[in-house]
Amino acid sequence: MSHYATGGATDVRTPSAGTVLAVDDVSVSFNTEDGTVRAVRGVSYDLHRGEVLGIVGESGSGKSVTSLAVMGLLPRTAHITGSVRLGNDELLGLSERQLAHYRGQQLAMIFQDPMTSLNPVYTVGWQIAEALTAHQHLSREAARDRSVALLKIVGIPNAEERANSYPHEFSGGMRQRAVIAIAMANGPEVIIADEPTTALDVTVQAQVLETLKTARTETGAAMILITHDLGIVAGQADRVLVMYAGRAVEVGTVEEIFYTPRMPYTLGLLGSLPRLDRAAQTRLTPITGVPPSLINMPPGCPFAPRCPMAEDICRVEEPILAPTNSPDHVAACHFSDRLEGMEPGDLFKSTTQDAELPADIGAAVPLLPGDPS
Amino acid sequence: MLAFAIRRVLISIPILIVSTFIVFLLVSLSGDPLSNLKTKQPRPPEQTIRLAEHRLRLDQPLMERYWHWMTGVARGYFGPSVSGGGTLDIGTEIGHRALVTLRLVFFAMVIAALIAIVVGVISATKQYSKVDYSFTFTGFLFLAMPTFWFAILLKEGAIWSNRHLGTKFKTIGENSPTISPGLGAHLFDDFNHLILPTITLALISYASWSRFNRASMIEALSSDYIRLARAKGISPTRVLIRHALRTALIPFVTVTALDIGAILGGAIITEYIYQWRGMGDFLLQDGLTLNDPYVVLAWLLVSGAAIIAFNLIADILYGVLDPRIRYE
Amino acid sequence: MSRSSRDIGTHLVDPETSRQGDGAASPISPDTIDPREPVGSVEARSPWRMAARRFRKHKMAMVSLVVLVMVVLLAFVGGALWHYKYNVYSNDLSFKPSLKHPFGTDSTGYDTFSVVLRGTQRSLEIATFVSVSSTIVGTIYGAISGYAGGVVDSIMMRIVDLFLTFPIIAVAAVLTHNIGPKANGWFWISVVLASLTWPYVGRVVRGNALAIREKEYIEAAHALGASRTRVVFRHVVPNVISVVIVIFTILVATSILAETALSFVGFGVAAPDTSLGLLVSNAQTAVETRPWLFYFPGLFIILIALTANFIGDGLRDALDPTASKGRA
Repeated sequence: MSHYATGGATDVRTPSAGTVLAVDDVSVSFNTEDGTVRAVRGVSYDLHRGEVLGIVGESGSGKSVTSLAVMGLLPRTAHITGSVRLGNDELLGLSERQLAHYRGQQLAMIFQDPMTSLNPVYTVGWQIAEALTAHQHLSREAARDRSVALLKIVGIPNAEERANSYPHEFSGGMRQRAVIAIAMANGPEVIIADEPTTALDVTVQAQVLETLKTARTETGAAMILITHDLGIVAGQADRVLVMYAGRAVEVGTVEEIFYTPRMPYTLGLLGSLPRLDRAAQTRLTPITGVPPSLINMPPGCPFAPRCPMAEDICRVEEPILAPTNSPDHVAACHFSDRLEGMEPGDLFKSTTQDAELPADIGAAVPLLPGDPS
Repeated sequence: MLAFAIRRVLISIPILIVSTFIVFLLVSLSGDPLSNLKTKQPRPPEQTIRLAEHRLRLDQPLMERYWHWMTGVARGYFGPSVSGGGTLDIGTEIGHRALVTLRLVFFAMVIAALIAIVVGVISATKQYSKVDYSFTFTGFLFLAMPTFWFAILLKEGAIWSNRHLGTKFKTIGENSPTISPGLGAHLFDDFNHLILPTITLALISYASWSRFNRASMIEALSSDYIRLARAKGISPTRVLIRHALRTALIPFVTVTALDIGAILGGAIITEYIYQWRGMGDFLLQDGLTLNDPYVVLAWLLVSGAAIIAFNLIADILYGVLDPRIRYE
Repeated sequence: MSRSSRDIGTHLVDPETSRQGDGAASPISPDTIDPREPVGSVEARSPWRMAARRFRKHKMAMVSLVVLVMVVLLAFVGGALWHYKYNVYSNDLSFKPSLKHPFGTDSTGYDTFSVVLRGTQRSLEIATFVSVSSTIVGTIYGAISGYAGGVVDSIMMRIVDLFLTFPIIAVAAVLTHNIGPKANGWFWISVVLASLTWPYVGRVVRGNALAIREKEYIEAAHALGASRTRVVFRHVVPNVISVVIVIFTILVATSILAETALSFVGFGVAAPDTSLGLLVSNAQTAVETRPWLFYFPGLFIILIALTANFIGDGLRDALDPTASKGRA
């Protein structure tokens, strides 16, 4: 599944030649009755042609909000700043009508819950055909034939017949395939998949991931894969962006993130992931505490209250993304160099409450729960 | 679908029959139809009262009267009337009156539904804007407006306008007693008489529907499938009409059809103000003021049947509009 | 107003929050809190206090509450203090509104202000009686029906359907057309209206009770050996209370409109008693000559119905923020 290697000299803030989507310093805030929620605070990344960028984080880390900001799908109450460039075109600030030109054609999105993503009153075939005719001049028959072909590509059996089915006659996995077919319809350059498998049964998840891979090979699109599941990222992504409290806290290739993380939060995430390549007796090491409130955030590093190696400076000054050993691997930590060669267990303690339990049961304490956002 | 419709009709029949019995009971208990005759001065001879009682079947036990009435209705005979010495044929009269009222109710419902859809869509897309707030306030105002008060106001306004601005609004009756012959003249006359009552009934009725449509539009607009539709890159207008409004209309149609009872209630008052010889006048004047039990019974039967029919239409429309509903 | 993340520890032992969120305190350790729980970001608030805060933010509802309280005080206290009495005429015939007679006088010399206040008093009494009694009956009926489910529910709901088959105003007119002028006529009119409005409450409450029936705490109550009666009154009824409060306020508006309409067409409150509907009815012919007789009672009806509806809207937003689809 290896696609394009991460291209040349990449400061995350300057788009390079191979960049299809450049997100620069995007911030999103909402005014609520409790105060201003700063959901995203200055996120930047480049998406290169054909690559898969995994965005990882807990609920409320801002990973979905960032992508909805890119698509222009946030509610009108959202206050968005920064820049989102698709090719050479700036997307932020465009009207709904202007955005419609890009959406579906160059920029497609797959949502978390396939049960509610499709309009219940139209057939699946009609909804795919609608996506096609929005951007291409096709006759009714041609649009219909193309919808059936797309349903076949995403692996719907009896596609001819099933095109006439209503969404409620489809299973969750089939609906998500249909949504993927809609995303593929116009051969977009970028597909954003927002937790595409979270709402599905574990058995179906692998199939849908396989379908996503098919969608990429068929369209050659670059993909942003948003998930809270590090396992999915490991299997699918080329590069990973870790988000915490509305910020990117570490960006790097999959290898860099998984083997040489330079931000304690990333290390903590890895420590909470059960791994088959480790000894069975290795305990999981959860991160204690909860993410900070996004209203009236305290100064300093947002992870400091949960960080075992936090020092005074961490509570005063918020670290910026800085290059580590490799210029493409950036992390936001004052002491990122100290993490070199560190294992999760060196930094985070395994839970102590289950001392009398056998190790393998104690290891089942959940850390990153299902993301209901 | 057909099987469902037939079954639904069959279920409605017992409800209608049970309700006719209850209605019969209520009407029988709610007063003596001959009280006017009996209190007449000088008191009419006992023989006259006896005869009247016999004619109205008041000398029979309740169940027997009910049976007579029901079997009569099945043959198209709605029972003996008190007024006009019994010369009034209730069946013919109510048929004519129902057509008059139906005309008003139909146009008022169509106009109210159209206003409600437009207002609901605009309010929902411009949520919390000045437009939304003013629509909301106007809606609440009409919800709180007594039909009779608004009708009188409109009627007086029309009279003033006729006098000072030279307009020719018709403020009395459902048609003119004397008009030049010809279908065109007739239709124009009917239409002219319809204007004010239809406006009254439509404005009194649209408010709750527009609130409802606004709510279902907002719900639809915040749904995941609208987000996907937008993500597909179809035009905003198409998202609004083909996706949001299309799904919002499913509950809307049901609610409007189920509101027929309230509309009929409003029509009674509206007709009263504009002095229409419709169903409302038939109930209030011929039925209740003249104390004519079989007129009241016929009225309740016809309106009950109309309401049950609208319930049925609502159910069937729901099935037509929502593919998730499959009637087995 | 909001807490920093460092306050989480104290937040956990806060009785307010532990009552709200059943999963806030993790059984594993105080530190491994399930991050899905919305802990630590917002000030601890009880549901009722939150509702009160949301209600106070609803401008129209707050204004309405003040206005309605003023109308009630004016009708019940102001009328008694006013130096003209509704049943004592003066020598001021057909006076225009002035400082002496704020709402003018009628052709007999009665002070319209005191008459309108008297009518408001009566109309409010009827509206209160109707909404209180039909809310109580409807809530109990609906809670039992929804909680019982199955055949009992079907039968109980068919009975409700039966009531909803006829326009309220028509059936009420049939039932009241002999009561009007009798002593305590207003009481019987209230009883009739209440007996026709409770099924609306019943239907809504039943829908909510049906959903509550499926909740775990009902199962838990059964597992603990609670009787069915206890479950209905201790668990079902309290959990539909927020819906019921909203229906109650809306019913105040509905019943004042129903009563005034009934009185207007001559089958409700009758002389010597008075109500706002009767006052408008009496003023029908005087719209052009003495318009104040027509406008003031009508405005009072609108004022009461409008404020009641806005309060209901505010309560809906405050008590059930997830169900509210926008506000005025």
